[in-house]
Amino acid sequence: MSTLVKATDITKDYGQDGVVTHALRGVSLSLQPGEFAAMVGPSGSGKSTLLNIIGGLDRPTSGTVEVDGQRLNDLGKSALGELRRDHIGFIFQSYNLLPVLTARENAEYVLRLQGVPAAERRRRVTEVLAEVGLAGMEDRFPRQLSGGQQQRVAIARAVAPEPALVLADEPTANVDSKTGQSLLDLMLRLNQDKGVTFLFSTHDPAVMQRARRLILLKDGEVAGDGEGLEDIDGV
Amino acid sequence: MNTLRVAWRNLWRNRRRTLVTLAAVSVCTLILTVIYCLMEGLMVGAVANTTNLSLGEVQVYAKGYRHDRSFYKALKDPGAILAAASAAGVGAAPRSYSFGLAALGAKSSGARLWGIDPAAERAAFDLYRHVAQGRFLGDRPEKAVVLGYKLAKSLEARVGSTLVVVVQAADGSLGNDLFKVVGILKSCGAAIDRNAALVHRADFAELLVSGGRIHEVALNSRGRMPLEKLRALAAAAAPGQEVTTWRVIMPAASDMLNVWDSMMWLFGLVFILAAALGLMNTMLMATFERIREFGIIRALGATTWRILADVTGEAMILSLLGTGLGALLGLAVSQYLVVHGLDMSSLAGSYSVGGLTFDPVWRATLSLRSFLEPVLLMFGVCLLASIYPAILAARLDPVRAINRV
Amino acid sequence: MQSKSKLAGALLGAALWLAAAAPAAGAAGLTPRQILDHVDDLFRGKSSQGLMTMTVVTKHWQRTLTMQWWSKGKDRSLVRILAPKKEAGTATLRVGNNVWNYLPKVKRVIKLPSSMMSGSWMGSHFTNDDLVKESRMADDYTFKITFQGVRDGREIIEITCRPKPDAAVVWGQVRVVVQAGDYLPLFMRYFDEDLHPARTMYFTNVGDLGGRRLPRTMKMVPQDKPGEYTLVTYQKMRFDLELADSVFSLRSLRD
Ligand SMILES: Nc1ncnc2c1ncn2[C@@H]1O[C@H](COP(=O)(O)OP(=O)(O)O)[C@@H](O)[C@H]1O
Ligand SMILES: [Mg+2]
Repeated sequence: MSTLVKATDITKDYGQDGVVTHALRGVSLSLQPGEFAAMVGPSGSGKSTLLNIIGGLDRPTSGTVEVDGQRLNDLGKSALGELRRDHIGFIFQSYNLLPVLTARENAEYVLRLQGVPAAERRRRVTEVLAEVGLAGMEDRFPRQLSGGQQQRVAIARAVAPEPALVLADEPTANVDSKTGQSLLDLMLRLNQDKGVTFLFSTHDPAVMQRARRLILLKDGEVAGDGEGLEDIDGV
Repeated sequence: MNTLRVAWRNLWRNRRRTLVTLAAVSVCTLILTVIYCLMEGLMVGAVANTTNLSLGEVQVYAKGYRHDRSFYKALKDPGAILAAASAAGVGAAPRSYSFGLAALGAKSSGARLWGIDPAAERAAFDLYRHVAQGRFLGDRPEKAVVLGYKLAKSLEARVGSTLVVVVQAADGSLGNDLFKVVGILKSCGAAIDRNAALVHRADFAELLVSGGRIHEVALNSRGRMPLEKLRALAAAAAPGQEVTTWRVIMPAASDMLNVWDSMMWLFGLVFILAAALGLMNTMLMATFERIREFGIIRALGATTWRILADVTGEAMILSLLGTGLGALLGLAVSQYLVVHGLDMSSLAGSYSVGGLTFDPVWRATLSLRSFLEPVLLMFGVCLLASIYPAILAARLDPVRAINRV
Repeated sequence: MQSKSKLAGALLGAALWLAAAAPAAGAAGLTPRQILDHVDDLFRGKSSQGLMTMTVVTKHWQRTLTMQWWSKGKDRSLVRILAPKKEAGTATLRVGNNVWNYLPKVKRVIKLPSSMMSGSWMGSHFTNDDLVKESRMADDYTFKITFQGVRDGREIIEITCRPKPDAAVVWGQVRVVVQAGDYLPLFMRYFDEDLHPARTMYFTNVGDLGGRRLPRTMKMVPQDKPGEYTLVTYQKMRFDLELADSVFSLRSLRD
């Protein structure tokens, strides 16, 4: 299987008023299809920055990123948009549903952007929503759903277009630990059953335990990369 | 889940703000349409009062006649002009003019003789209805004269008086005859009041040995034909002769109407801008409140066009509702003012400015120009006003937008 | 307007002016004032009566009127048309600044309103004003000799008159050209306010009229109407005859 994500020597500097923050200092990372990987590390270590760069939302200061065979460095703004729409699913920390859309409408949003016909959309979204355990709640608005249910809708929205890669930035940070567990169960199941590749950041120890691969970031550098906590020094 | 339905839901997220904006746009549209219809009524009325009386919308003269009013500069083929007018269903009246002297007893005064065709005047113009005393000229020549009221006053003439009219006839002789005063006109504007003496064209021809010379054909469609079209029609029927319009004959009045027109647009602009700025403010606020949402849909792959369409879609609904509601109300109020008008008689009777006469009851006119144009303009400018917020939303950087809470 | 008075005097003969007997012309070396007075007085007398024809030529028509006139003092005159038949009996009476016309066709007398005074008299190139003016050129204008010598084979004197600031005249300038020796007028040219020529009156056909040696034909040529003119020829003239005041009444106007 070809490499899905290949990030090489990524640096990212944020500069303001002459003070430069080196958010990433030469990160290299590869991800194979079907992986279920978690990025861990203290707050400010560069997890979100790296996810944004891999997801084509942000550009690295130096280094190259390839996703699904495309060199992101070479893509313009609108091509990056298309890449995100067609190849990547996003799950954000919280509040990432559109409040005026129902669960179904949120879940089918990307399909709509892709121009998938209504009937097909409906079929797929009904199925995915059932898969994330929201059967019967399709027509609820986000405010009528709990935090966990909202994240389930977000997961459904991310996986419904069957992307090559789903990026999730601290998906369980805003829910209680029990809900976090069940969200993780859901993502694992999607990974196992459907082969969806996940790369997410977290500092939830429960999540770390269940990830198949852990990548430790520290001060903008990869400080460890292995199958479990025990593989990683310094945690 | 089409764009407009989503836009509609977004609009009602802040119900009060949307209602206030709607009200502002509606009220501006209402005021705008009513004032435009009223002003259009004023102008149309003033023009009609002026042209329908006797001036006509379009006039035909022999080349040079307007310059020196020479009796000998007569229209070449007035019949062709009259025929063309009648074929087009436009009223037309042939007239002959001459200056002369009118005397009654010891009084005498210069007068402008109008040799008219009373039947044609009745059909095309309203002058015959402006008789204060007595009656208008009959269809057959009867050596009768109808006088402008100031001329009648200076001659101390009354209905039944016999005037001596003296002219320089076409053959150089001193044409003179007696005419019986059958009518005295109401005030019809300075030109007629001061010296008009209307006689039948046959009597005129006999007095002046004029051989039926016609100096003017005045055409009047009563607003049914656009001025330019009527002018072209007359020009085609009168090659080589001078065709004018009331705007040429009454440049002051024409200029005044043009100035009013510009002022109305300026005035309209103020209302349109007020409404549009209100709407822009609403859209800006709505955009700022939803920066995070725009960031998310950007991240999900929405194009800038998508976001532009989302924001302008909302503005379109707001504008459409606002102008639509305002237009409906404006239509109702304007229609009322078309039928009933504003009674200005307590302020002034019929009054004149710059050669235009205004009615004591101020009526509105509903037309494409007075109603639809301001409404469409309002709608269009409101839509335009939403482009700025839309562009702001479309240019957001997704990462920063999402991180802003 | 004063300059018109000259014209009017010429036109209607002595009708319009009272004056002492014409000064003897021909004396050597008249002053400019004396020349102007001489021209003014040519046709003047205590009273006068005469017969004249007036031919008016315009672009559109041409006609000849035969008229008889009477005048007394400087402010009373009566003119009656004898021919053509259509207008025979039409008469104009002037007393002071008032002018009345009698129209036989309608048997009415009408008074000319002052607004019509600048209008044409009987269709001619003379105005009604020309008829009624009475004062002398020398009183209304400043003047000087602007040429003296031979021009066009004739020995002439040219006097240019400019209106005095307060004079009620319409002309910007009047140029009077007389023959040297007898001081009989040759022509008078009237200029408008912009000093463009407006009209010219030519005096010709010198001969005996009522015992005086006078130009018997006058031709008024307007500048702005090419080809048009009014020609007045005196047939007969008597000066200083006895005329009753009743001749110049509205009653006599009618017959
Ligand atoms: N837009 C930004 N401007 C300036 N500094 C930033 C910006 N985004 C992130 N940083 C900085 O970059 C570093 C990495 O941040 P981040 O990737 O958000 O870390 P993490 O997600 O691991 O908490 C931090 O020091 C943060 O302050
Ligand atoms: Mg982070």
